[in-house]
Amino acid sequence: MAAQCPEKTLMATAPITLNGGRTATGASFYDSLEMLCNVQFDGRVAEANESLLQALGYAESDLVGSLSLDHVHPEDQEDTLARAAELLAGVDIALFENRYRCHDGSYRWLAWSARSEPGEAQVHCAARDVTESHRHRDLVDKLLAELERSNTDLAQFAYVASHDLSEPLRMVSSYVQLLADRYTGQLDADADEFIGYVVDGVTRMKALIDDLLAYSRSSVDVAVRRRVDCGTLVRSAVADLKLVIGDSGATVEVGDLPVVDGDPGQLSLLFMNLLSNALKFVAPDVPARVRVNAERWPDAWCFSIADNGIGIAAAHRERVFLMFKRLHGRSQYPGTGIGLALCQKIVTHFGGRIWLAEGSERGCEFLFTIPDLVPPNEAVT
Amino acid sequence: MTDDIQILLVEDNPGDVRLTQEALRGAKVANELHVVGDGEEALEFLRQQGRHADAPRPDIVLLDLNLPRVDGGEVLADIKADPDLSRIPIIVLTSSSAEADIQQAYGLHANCFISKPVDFTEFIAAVRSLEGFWLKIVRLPTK
Repeated sequence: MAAQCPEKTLMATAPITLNGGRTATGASFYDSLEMLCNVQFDGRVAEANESLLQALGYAESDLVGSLSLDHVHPEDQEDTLARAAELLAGVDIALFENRYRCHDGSYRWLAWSARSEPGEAQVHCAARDVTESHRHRDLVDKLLAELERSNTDLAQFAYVASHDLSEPLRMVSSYVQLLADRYTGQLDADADEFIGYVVDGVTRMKALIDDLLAYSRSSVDVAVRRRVDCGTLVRSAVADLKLVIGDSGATVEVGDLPVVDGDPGQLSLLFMNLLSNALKFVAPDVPARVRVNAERWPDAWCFSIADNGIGIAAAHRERVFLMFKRLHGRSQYPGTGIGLALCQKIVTHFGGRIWLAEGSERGCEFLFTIPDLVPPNEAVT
Repeated sequence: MTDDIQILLVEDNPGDVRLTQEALRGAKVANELHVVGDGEEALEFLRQQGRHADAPRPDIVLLDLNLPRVDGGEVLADIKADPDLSRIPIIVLTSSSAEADIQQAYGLHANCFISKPVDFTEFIAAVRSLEGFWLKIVRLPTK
């Protein structure tokens, strides 16, 4: 055993020496590109190699003989001491990180491994400089925290703004409605027309605010994922749309739909928006025919909602998911342009994707996925 | 004093006051609507203090939450903590639909909570149903 690692047996008995010890301990320790040092059980640095000295900017006489802990960042000293105690108890250290002071007073992050051999009164330490990766990690953490905060701010802002907007809107809409109820036909034709425009504008603004509220609420309310029967959900959405379907001759076929892990409120908002789009954008004189189906993917369910309506030109395929993006005049097909943006947000929230199928120029087919929920204990972090 | 139902409306927005008046105008139950614009005055009215020394005792209070000076929540707490006033039904009529406001109002023993509908027709319907329920169906405590 002694023959296999001659430098260690020598070091165990070697007193603290400066340059004089070099020949005795062998070339590999001093010439190694790895940062190496040996620390006595009393905490004093017995030896440090050139790589370590260079990286930290020390002369050998600065480090050797000093207490190693004195060079450790004050915030890391407690942890370092605890690990040192483990080492003394004979437990090797595979990886331990602390900040070590350089000669110029700055600190570098060092990742240590250390072990002691039975019968020795010192530990052998090897270090890697991980300052850069720490800097990156800190930067990423900081950016993530900032992003999260600005997202929360934005959601909060949208919620408060739309909520507070509805208050003055209530005044305008109530009084213009009173005006219309009480004075239509009593003023002149111009007045009736003007009142009509105000009522129309207010109605649209109310729809916008309601949709914005729904959109911002979908991120304020943290969705709790639980088992949701999509078949039941879609059938009740279709029932709610009876008024829209009315006498138009529209039909909605619902295939076998699975039970997924989701949020019933958000999923029903999703189906409701897609179904009402399918029933709204109908071709003239062609009764709407809508089909809802689901297909099993390896780790997700893929839903499809297809219609025989006016379709969407390939050029617009991406843009339809943008907030406030509308492809038609208001008089042709009313709407706020928030519906599909909301759908995308909900699907993304569950880790899925929503897109428009190829060939949606004649009738639309929207597809979206709801990935399976990975149980927390199987989740890969 | 007449036998008219006395209603106290605590509301600082004149636009809302007028809407409530319009909505109650066609009411089937004879009523007298008194209006105060802030929470402090509401408590003076109820306790017949200061300029409201001659105020009648309301049969029912319509209370907005967002009020200057003393806010609606405090008014509600004061009324329900006062043995002389605690039996008067308090209807919270507010533009808020926030869950926190609803929880707080019922926590303070509000008799009911209504979010003012944005749509005027629905607002009229809400006030009419208040009238139908609280002024016709419900038996109120005698003064």
